Amino acid sequence: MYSVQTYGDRGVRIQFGNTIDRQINEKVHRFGSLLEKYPIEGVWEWIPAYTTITIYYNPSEITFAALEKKLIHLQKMLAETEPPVTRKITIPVCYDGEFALDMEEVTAYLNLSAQEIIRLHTKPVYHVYMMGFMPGFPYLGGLSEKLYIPRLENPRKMVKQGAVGIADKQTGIYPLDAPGGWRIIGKTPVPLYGAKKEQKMLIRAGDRLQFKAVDAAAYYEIEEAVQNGDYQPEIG
Amino acid sequence: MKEILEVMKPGLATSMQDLGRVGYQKYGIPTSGAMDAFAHRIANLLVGNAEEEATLEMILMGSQLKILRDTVIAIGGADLSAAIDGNPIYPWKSYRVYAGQIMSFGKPVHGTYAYLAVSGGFVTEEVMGSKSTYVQAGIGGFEGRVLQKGDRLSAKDMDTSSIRAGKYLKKIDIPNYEQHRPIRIIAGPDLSAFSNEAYQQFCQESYRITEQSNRMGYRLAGKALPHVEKADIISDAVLPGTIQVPANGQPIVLLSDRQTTGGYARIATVITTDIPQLVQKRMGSEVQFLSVSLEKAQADYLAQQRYFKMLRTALRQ
Repeated sequence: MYSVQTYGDRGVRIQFGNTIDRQINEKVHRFGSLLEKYPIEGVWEWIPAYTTITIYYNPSEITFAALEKKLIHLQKMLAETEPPVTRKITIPVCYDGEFALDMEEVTAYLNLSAQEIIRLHTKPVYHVYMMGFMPGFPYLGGLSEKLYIPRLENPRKMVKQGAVGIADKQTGIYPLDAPGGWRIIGKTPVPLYGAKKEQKMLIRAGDRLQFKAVDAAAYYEIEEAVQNGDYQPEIG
Repeated sequence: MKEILEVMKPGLATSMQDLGRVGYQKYGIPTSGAMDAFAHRIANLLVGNAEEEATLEMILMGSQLKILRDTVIAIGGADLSAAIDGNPIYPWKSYRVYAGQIMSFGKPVHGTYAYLAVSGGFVTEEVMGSKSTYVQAGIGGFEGRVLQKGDRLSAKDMDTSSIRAGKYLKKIDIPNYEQHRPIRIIAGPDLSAFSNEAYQQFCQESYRITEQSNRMGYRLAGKALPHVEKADIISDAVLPGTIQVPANGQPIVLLSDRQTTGGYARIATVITTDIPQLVQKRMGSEVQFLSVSLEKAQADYLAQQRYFKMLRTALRQ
């Protein structure tokens, strides 16, 4: 399935499928890399999502008809392009003590030991379907079914930046302090959302991501390196 | 760079804004930017700035400011009873102001958002190519937040004696925020998620702008818009003016500080040229929607770009 649809008066939405599926999503990101490689004049930016890519353009620089033509051309190229080599980012997480606010409740609810929860959470290589919800927040796919759990009944007024949580069929990392209803099982010292001046984003849609368990001592060591600007993220 | 204004009273929520942060939505970064881009651009042009310079956006209750240096200022957008040393000044016109004078705002007369431009433009560190404040993430503008008492804002250091004051927008070009013109929309992209009557109903009924409206979005209340099955969609990109409808059937128009993606079915998108007219409406007022074609919306968009081009030339003299 492939469809091009106008969206408001400055948007075009290209849909590659209608289910949350890794292969469909990979097409979205391949299309995004083609847009990057072959820039179209008048296109401001694009927003990849699970099954679509939305192109945001300036109608005084390019007409919808001309843009559609170029997009169809890119779509034809898509079939001939190799899937890009994706990056794998390793995120260190401390699952102990005060970092894992809801671990006790989660172990009780899922009837699993903390070790088992950590094992299940660090085992998969997650796929970053898209970014959104808040700056630098990755929508990850690939959570073990054994970790599916409902959201908190009473969401917290404030969850700390770096908190790693699970909710419904998803796992995620809070890029900044925000209210939220995810069950927090750990915390990472690695900022997702760069230092204020640079604003480099650690994670991009289409990346792969894996969590790695670290103890509190390692957590603080990384935290210090981050503060000194010496931390090098693990990107493979 | 020189200090130009000191905040004596902050007002309701005054923040520095420009035309927004473009290019980072793929990382989940909202665009932010002026709610009423038209008023923002005009205010800049009246003081001899480029349209993308930062202005101060004030909401209903403006700030009280001490002028620290002679300059030329202009206000675009809402009439919030601005005055210099107690003498009223009006939107859509530029004025020369002098060091030591006090600029104040009072009762809101028309509209919701006012934009204060100073000659040369405000100077602040750009974050991801923009001076717009995004308060939720603490980035951009003045220290990533709304203004507080004691803040001292800087502007480009320039000789403003050559900038002419007294420039104004022709009366016929001044937006009328009181008029009951419907807000124009383009249908979709999720029309099929709604029952057949829903879109027709949306264009016939009127909806009230509720108190839960802010820079993220305007929450409307009125006759519920029924979905076919459910309100949830697979999370997808949202654009300025996109109208999403959660399960309760009450529409939300997404605006400058919207998240980049949303999970509710989208019935329509407000056309670009009509966003200012919508955001300037007061909370509690009623709004009606009118469906138009993409061709009509883009023709109006192009006409507005031509208008700005003409204005740039006219105001240069």
